[in-house]
Amino acid sequence: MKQGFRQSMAWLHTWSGLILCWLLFAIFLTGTASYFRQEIQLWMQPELHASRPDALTAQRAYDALQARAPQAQSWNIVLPGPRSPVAQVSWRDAGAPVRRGPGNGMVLDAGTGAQLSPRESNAGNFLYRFHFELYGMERITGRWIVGVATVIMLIGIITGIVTHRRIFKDFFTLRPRKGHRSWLDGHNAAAVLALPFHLMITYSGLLLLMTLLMPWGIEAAYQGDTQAFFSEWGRRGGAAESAPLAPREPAPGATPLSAMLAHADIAWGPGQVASISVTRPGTAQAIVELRRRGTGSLLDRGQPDRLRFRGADGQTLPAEASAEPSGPGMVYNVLTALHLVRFADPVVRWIFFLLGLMGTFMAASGLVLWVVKREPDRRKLGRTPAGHRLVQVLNVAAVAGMTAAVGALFWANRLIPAGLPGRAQWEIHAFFAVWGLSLLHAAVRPHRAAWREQLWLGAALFALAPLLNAWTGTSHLLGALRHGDGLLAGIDLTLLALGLTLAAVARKVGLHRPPPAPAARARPPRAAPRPAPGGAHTGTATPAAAAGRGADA
Amino acid sequence: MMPVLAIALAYGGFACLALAMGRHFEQVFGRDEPSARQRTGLRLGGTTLLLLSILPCLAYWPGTSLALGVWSALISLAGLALVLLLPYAPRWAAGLGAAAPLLAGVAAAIA
Repeated sequence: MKQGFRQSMAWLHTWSGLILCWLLFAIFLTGTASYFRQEIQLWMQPELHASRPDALTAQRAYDALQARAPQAQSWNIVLPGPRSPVAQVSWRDAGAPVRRGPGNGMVLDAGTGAQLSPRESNAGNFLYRFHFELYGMERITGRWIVGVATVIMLIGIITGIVTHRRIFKDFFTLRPRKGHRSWLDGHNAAAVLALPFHLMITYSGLLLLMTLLMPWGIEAAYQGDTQAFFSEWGRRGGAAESAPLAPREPAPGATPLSAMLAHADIAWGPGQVASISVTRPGTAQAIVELRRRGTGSLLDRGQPDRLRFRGADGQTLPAEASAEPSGPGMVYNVLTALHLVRFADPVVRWIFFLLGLMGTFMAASGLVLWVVKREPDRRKLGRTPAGHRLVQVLNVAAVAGMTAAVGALFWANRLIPAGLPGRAQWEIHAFFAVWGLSLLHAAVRPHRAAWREQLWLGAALFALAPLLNAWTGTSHLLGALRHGDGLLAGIDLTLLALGLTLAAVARKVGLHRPPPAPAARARPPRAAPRPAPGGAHTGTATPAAAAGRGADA
Repeated sequence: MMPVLAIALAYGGFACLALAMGRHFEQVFGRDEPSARQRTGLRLGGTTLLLLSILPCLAYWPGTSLALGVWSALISLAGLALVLLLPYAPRWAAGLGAAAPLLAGVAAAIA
């Protein structure tokens, strides 16, 4: 090898990064949004916003099931909690196949027990699914592409560490208004400061896809019967479901739910019950299981505590024994539970959301850096080579366009009529329409103008979303704040903050004035801090480069 | 309160570690280098504060595994705050490094 080790690592970092960074940005952005998947889903269904839980919500849900499905094989009630104001009930009829996901279900107003009919919308789940299996292709294909991107991301992290010569010396360094230097500092800061998060999220992402990417171990050990592996590993499905069915006997006098809830309040503290499931309701064999909100340990993948009662007399039953995880099992559990935020703690969710934004910025800044770093080349050439132009166009569409498309999802949700058949699909069409148009726009507009205009579009879509909510929804930000409804107010305020951040970035791009041509100005001495010509993030390192950029814009 | 205390301690720790470096010492105080003794003191203090910031995490999050995982994420945010503040308001950044752990500590003691 002619080059040194570090040079070859830098080469690998640059080119592997460039090829997949557009995809990685999309994965980071949608993945970060997925931390608030439930909150986004809630925003998208304003019909649910008026629901107000109280102490009797569980009983109302129970009564609703009693009225609607007295003969069912099992009931499940998901109670309202910090992330949802409604009660969701579902039931499985006797003889119906065991499936994942709800079979028959209703959404209930927590304060009245009335059935709600929210509009058909899947935008939050769409963003979540997009981040690991993309869209419009076979799920397995999408997962493979994301899996490959994740491997490249891991390579990017490792080569990035090797390439970064002054990782400790520059640990706290950010030099604004210095063009290429500033972008590099920003890219490094986002990468190095959040390195534990990036490593965790990338490696655990690979673990979550591992049975797809590397199936051979399981195939060899289980002779191709992968289902056997999963059932042995996960031990999913309770024993109650597989027990042979005794004939239906009516219960002599079922224990009231309130007694069991009171028991849970003593054991766990008030308001800790997340869900209730009842097997064989209304019979002498009825078993009621209460599940607690997320627990603290990651070793068991955030398996919730449970309380089991015999429905007939309210006697507590011993908990089902769960297998102690093995060493590698614990590693898998800890990492994947962190990736999925398998615990109900809003503080952790926020911390991870902010770190996700740092990761998103890292991907975006890496892309911008590729273009900014090559300013001197373009200056020397006196034109923008086709390859550079291609990267510029793709950068704008992948970063600013994608961001605006996510914002458009919120608008599509409210502007498409609530009763339109197939409306959930139209929301997703709107997302891709905006994204596609952003590519077209980036191709026909000058580079800097394209950035500015698309960033302003994204800023407007996000910042005005709370107004849209007030206009088309059943609640508004000020009302939510007055009622102490932190959940809905929090979503609106987050959208507003994201919009304002995008506006600040768009403004910086717009304020940037290319410095005068190199001949007109001597290079200032190194030590003296030079007053900034304009935007911090878009300034350029050398006058020569700046002039080159001026030619682009 | 505990997450705030943790982030304040971590911020203070990172501020000390930054001040132990010539570049940031100059940014804040205008003199180019901390003395050898100052440097050792800052490094020791910074490391101590960073390690101390684990304690509120352990107190707040029920499982050790979760607490340590969140701690490593939380100090990233503390570091980010310092990096964003240093170039624009170096004196404030350093002052906050001293004030934040104290204030948060007092507030946590009262609460």
